[in-house]
Amino acid sequence: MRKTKRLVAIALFGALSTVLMWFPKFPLLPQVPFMTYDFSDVPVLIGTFTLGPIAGIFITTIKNVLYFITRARSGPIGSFMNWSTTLAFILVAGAIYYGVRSDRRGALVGMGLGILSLTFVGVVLNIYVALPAWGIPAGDVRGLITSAVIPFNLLRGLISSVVTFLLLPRAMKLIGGLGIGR
Amino acid sequence: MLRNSVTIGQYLPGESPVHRLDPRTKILGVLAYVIILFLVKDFLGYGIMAIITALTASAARIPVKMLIRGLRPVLFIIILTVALNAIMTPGEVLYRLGPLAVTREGLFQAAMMACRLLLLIVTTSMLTLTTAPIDLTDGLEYLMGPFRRIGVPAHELAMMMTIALRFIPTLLDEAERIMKAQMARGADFQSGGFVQRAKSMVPLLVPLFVSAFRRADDLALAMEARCYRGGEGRSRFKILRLGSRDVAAGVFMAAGFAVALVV
Repeated sequence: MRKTKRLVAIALFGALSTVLMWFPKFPLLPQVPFMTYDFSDVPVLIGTFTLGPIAGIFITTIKNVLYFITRARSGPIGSFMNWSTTLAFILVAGAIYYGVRSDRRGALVGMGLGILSLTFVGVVLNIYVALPAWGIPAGDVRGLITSAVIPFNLLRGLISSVVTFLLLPRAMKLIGGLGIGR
Repeated sequence: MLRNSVTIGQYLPGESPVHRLDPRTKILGVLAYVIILFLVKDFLGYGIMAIITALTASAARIPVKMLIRGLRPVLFIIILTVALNAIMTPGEVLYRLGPLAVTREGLFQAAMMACRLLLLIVTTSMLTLTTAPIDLTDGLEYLMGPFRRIGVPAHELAMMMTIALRFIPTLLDEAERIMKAQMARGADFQSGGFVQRAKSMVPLLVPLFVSAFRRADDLALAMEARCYRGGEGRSRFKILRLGSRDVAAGVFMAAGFAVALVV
């Protein structure tokens, strides 16, 4: 029963995350309107903290595969970038939370370090994968990294972390009620 | 409100030969296409890739309008790429405007990049236009099967995706209901700056989470009552089989890719 409940809970978090990826989308930086923020990282973070990091990996994968299948707005490049940066975020946050301190402070520190990891992976993958794949000439990559990629990912992580932190106590209680927490 | 602007998936139901291909053939075909697209380096190669795309689109009987509409979200980035390439590539200057110079090499480079992006987006969207989401998750489960040995939970992942697909419309309805209920109490989702709108999301997210948890509990109970116990020994409603059509499609793609790479 526990196993099935966990499976279904992860699936529903994935569904919620996909829905949040569809709408609403905010461009965070006026100079790069194609980099949009959405709340889809929030269910992934909450899933990581309540159901465990493996669940977090599942939710990230579900949201990006389903997003690609259902909307495929920016094609495979956007989905791949979102998948890898979200993983970088939640794996670090989950490692701190489960490895160091499993309380609200642990979650906060974990998300803080997670934002750095998200930004780092975002920078590396943009330099070597995404920007070349979009055909941005090599001379412009550095400018876009400092003016767009770094601020965008820091802001994205910060907003998602704040919203997650506000929702976390409620979510903990709900998961406790179901008896499927990690 | 939300449901009107969002259709679940981009799938265009149809009976064309492309629609009836095994989802695995289409997934692998698109994967190979994307890889080849990044290996091709000249216009002749792009031309051949474009012919493959055009032939597939006409066989799938997808209206050209649909394919073009799919490009709208990436229009900005394509324009950006074209502009940057035209300006940044050193070479013979064709046109000068202050410090910016458009070069012959730049225009050539920009055209190449535009071709690549257009083909990439059009072709990947063709996969989702001709295959129902549920068939795609089925195909993914089969394709991930061999990786089970190294610990990839193919069945579980596909099962979760199928459940998630099933619940997306439900969650959308629920989100709309909650938004309307809160708007009736004076909540404002439409106006305000980014911070304001982000804040207004929190009271929307809490009930969404609550309802997701409740539904998870109900569905798990229903599955257990029907003796669901994971992938081992589970029978299938739909069994994927490769047919002569898939062999033909495979030969067509392999031949096309080989020509595109060689020329």
